[in-house]
Amino acid sequence: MAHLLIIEDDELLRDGLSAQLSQVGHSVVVCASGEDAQSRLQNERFDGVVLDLGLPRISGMELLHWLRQRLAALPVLILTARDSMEDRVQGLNAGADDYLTKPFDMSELQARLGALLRRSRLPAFGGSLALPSQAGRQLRVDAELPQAWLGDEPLELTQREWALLSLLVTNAGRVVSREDVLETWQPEPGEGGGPGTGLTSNALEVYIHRLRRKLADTGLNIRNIRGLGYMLESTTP
Amino acid sequence: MRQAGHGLSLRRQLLLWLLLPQLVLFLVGGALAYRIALNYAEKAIDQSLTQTVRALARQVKPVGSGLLIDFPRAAQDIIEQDPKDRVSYMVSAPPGRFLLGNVQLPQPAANQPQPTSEVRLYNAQVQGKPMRLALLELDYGEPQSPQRMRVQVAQSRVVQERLTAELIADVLVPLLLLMALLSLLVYAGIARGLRPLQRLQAQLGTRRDATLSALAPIELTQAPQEVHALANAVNQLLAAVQRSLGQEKRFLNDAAHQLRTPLAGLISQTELALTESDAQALRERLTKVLAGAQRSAHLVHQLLALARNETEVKLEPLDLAALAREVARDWTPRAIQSGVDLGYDGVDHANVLGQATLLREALNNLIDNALSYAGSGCEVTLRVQASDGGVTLEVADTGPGLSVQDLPHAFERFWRASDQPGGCGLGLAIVAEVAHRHRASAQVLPNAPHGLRVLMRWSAAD
Repeated sequence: MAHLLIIEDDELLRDGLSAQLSQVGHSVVVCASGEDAQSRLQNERFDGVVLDLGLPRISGMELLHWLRQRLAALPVLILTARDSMEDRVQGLNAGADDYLTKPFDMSELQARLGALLRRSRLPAFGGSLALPSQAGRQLRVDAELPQAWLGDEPLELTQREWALLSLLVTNAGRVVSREDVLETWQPEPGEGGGPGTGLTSNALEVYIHRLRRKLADTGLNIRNIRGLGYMLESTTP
Repeated sequence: MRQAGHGLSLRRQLLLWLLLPQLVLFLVGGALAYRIALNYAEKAIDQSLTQTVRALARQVKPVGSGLLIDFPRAAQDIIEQDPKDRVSYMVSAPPGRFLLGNVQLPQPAANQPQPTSEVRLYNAQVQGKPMRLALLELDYGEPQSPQRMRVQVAQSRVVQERLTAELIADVLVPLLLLMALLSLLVYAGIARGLRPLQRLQAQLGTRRDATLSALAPIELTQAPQEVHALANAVNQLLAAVQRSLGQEKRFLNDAAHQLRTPLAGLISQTELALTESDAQALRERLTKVLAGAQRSAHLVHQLLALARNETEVKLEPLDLAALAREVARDWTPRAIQSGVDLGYDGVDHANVLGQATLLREALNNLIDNALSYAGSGCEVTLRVQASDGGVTLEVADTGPGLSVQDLPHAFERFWRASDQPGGCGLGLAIVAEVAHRHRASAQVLPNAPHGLRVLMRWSAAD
């Protein structure tokens, strides 16, 4: 699925990360030190990086600075044993896209990494993204065109439906709040005002309902989360 | 009380501030006494010279256009009695032409007219010696040919200096003695006054080990009020530190014991797994190992959360409702997995003073608890309500809840309501700590018809 670089000095954790991420289909390169990582990053193209902050000699934070000067768009998820607020803020300010505090569940790491990879592919590179779904009816979206397909059939979508769908797809498995949706919406032809003008929760419900109908029989469902928003989920086990 | 590198010692400061002004005052007083003595000596001499010059003038009587000088030997003897302190005199008429006297006295320097019958006093050098002179001029003779005579007497200024010296000796010597005595008293007083501080230092200075006995209260007897106040303040601090150290030790002790259990389970399960040959049985063992490791990880996380709570926090305005929804969204995938309907129901925005990391920790614990103990098919609802009375955050579940006897124990550390695996009995304790840090109250209530409600309440004053 993706070409990943793991930089972690603890052998037990490095081995575990590498094995688990390989199991779900990623191709994984591991480094035990910042120096190793620098030479690998100069010679290879990666889709994402998992970086431990507590490295010997070149610290994770230094490596992050070094990396950001060269590869601004590369998704980086940092791992840290310290979870004080300063450390998190420092890491995110230095250019990390997400962080996880040790110890963590492997499923959590995979979910965060998956979201990072999806987000980096869709808007930044204008690439296309496919969600795993029932055979033959896979949902595929392309931000550049913009166009969505179900299997080989193009999906007819209004501007707002497209904005809603692409937001749900990039955040698949996570809850998207109503505010998030309204921020991305432009006024439809014939409507005045700026983004989200005059939209009631009923109006949003109408669009959700329409999208649900269009996604019927795809194994994908837009779940209504009480008081919190919507989540695109796979109904196939 | 030596304080190397921290400015002058208290003793030196006191000495400086007490003795230096005293010295200055004495010097000024001495100088003043000298001036006054000099002045009085001069006045005394001037008075005697004035009397002498008038007396001498009376002995010179004008007769027609001439002068009759009646200067008996006795009078001469009185004037010239002291050979060291001889009064010189001179009568001249017209002024400047020597008529009578024992020495040629100089004329006054200035040429201003000398009013008749008025004594003029001035200083001049006579035969190389400084002298004080008195001068008196008198008119005599016929009105058509007026004549003027001048009478001068002089006395050496050595007399004045001697007189001054005597006066000074009488005033300055007692003054100097007084100053020495005062300085001694001040020095002794400071040493005595600082003794309670030295005793305090001696009491505290020997406490070098970090045991609880080093935190015993200071005992001072016969110390002045200020030192007692200082000792009391230190004692209060010591007591607070002792209390908190005791709590920490108890907590650390509890924590270490709590960690032993999952670690013991881990070791035994791993040992068993290593001897297992059947793949299915090995898998079961490893599943238990994973659960044990996760339990340990959870406990460590909770302990760190409590430890973080112990430090000072900075409260900032934040939107509690938005934060609650954000945390709830993070938990949604797990809620769906556990078959729990997790939702939010409350105001859109509610501002409180808070610290986001700590509140997130409290929310995580509340939701985690609710999801774990409510079980599949239940509802967990977050509510943030704002009213005149303040802001309330609530996490309510429709699970089995707690019995009435158990409710009061809910916030105790390491207290657990069920033997459900994974819990460590710190979740609600963390919530209570976070509430305490925010000057908010924490409360557990039964939910109707069943379940549990945990509330954090910010009063309107905050």
